[in-house]
Amino acid sequence: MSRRKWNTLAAMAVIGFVGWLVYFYSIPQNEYYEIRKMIHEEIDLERVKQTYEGSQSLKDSLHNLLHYLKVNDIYAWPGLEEDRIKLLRMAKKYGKKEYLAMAYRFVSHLYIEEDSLLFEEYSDSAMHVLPDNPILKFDIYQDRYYTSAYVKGNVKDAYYWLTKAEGVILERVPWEKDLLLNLKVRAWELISKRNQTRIGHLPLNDKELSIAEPPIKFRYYLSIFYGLLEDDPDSARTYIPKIVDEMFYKDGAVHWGNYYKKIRDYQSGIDILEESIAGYDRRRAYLSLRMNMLAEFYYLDGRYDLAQIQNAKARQRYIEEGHEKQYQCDLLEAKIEMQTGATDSAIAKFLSIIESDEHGYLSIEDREEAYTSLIDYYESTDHTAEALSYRLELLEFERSIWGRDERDRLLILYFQNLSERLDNNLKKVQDLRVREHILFLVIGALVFIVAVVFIEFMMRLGADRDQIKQLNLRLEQQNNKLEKRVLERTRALDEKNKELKKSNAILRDYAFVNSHHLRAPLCAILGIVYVLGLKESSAEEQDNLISMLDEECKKLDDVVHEIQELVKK
Amino acid sequence: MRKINQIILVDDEPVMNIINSKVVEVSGVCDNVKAFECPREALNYLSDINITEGILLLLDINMPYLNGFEFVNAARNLIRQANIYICILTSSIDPKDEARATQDEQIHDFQSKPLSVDQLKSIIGKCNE
Repeated sequence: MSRRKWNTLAAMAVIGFVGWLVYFYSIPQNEYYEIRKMIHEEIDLERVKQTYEGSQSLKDSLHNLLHYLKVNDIYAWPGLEEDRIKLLRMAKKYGKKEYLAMAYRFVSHLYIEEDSLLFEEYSDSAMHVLPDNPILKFDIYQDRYYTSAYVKGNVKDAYYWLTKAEGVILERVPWEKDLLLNLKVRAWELISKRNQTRIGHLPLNDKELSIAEPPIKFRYYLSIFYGLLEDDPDSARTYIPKIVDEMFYKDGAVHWGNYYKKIRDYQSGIDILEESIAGYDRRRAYLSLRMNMLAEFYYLDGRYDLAQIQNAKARQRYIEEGHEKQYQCDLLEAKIEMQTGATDSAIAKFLSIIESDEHGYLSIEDREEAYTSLIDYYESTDHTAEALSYRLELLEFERSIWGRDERDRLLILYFQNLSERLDNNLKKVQDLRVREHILFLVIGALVFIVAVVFIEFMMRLGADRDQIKQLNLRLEQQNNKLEKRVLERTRALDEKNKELKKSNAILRDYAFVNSHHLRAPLCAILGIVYVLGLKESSAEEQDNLISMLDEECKKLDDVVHEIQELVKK
Repeated sequence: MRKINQIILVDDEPVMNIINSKVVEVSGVCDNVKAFECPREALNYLSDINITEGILLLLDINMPYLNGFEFVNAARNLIRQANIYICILTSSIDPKDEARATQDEQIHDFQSKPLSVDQLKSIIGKCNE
């Protein structure tokens, strides 16, 4: 292959690469989303723990602190207050809007369960910092969904926020498939947790699952696990290892605990929780939950003393983690008191839980349990009127929150619709992706063709120039030849002309001579005739003159004949 | 202002000399007429003449051995010394001949053949001016 062709190929490659770069950078970048992705990555927890406080640069410390909070935050666990405030301070110092918005969001999580007003204030601050960022909106709407679904128990609101989050994604960032998957899982989570029926189909297919982020997979398995737990604990059990696998901290004690509670294997629950609490990092959240669960297992196993001690420890831990109200501890304590004979104190505690206006974590279920405990107590002591009154109240409460009447079934149907719609949107997004790829290929091909055509054109232009040069050269040569020929011809013409002039002159001379030859005898004749006309001559002279005339006439005749002969020649 | 004492005719054609002599005779301008058919003879004759005499030379151009202009060239000194008036009398109608004759100071006149009495008288008149 010639050097020229290699050059052409190299030029094409460069042009193609530049075209690809232009295409790549024409896709809008979202820095908030990049940071969000970054903190969802799996990292070495030990390293983060050691370095987040003493990192070299402010950006590194920010990243490490974000990681640390994300790992410990796991959706709206209160606590780590100092770290959150520190994050906000650092983000303000660093000065980038994306980090500041994220810090506000982390701070808002501090109040997500305890103080909905403060939560909304901080999340609004985040939105105010980055008003037009769809990903941030998506996150905030999800947080609102969380409070509606799990804190306030308002299914309608939960549905509203999920659809809003969906709208933001479809409107602004259709290329982010992960976010749609996240929504789909959220909707399914709600259905599975509250529908308490066996799940007929899986919300994600294998392909979607393979590209989903770890938190999405985690929530996905969790939702199936809780969906199955009521009807089919054995099937639910198979999901626990998957859940654990997708968790940041590889400890599934709470989920195992839920499972053992369901199958009434209390000893196994106690074993796994004791082990978990012993090896648990005390700086992390959820330790109080584990302690509370262990106390509950002791209670279920009939070891009330141990249960009481463990419950007190759990209460202490709740306070350490920043919870002002400890409903779960109150509930367990009341149940233990009921078993150990302190019924008055227990009833007072149940009533305080029922009458509480606040909605702490699991408070809905706590309240339901408080109601059932009271109903059980009054029925067992033959206080049927009280039992009936509380049963009616419980029904009313359940209706207001989740209920299984017609209205709530409709709400669940809404969620199923949402889930289906998300499926369709996912397909649309996939189509978009495919179209994007096709577009890229087409653009690439076009760029390539244009490059090829351009280079070909340039090469041809070069070739044409060479050809034109050669043609010019040939033309010049031919011109020279022509000039030579013209010169030769003119020379020949000149010569001929000269010859002609010469011959012309000769001819003229010849004509002159001829006329002279003619004129000589003619003059003689004219003279003779003149003299005769004078009539001054004698007869003899006259005869003489006439004979001369005759002679001259003959001469003239001879000359005329001579000329005729010459003309004939 | 000399009276023309003699007229000399130089022409290779004897017929022309006869005719011209007759014209001179008829005109009566001069009694002394001499005709030469050979120009050399005329030259020899001229070298012997009396220089005080007024002579009119009627000269033909186209002649064998010595044409009219050659004749003038040969007799130039002679013509200057003597009172010789030269008139070219020719059958030629070539304008070159006339031009050449008028350019020559010693040629006084240029006339075409045949000579008439009036023509001769006008030539004599010019000589007497």
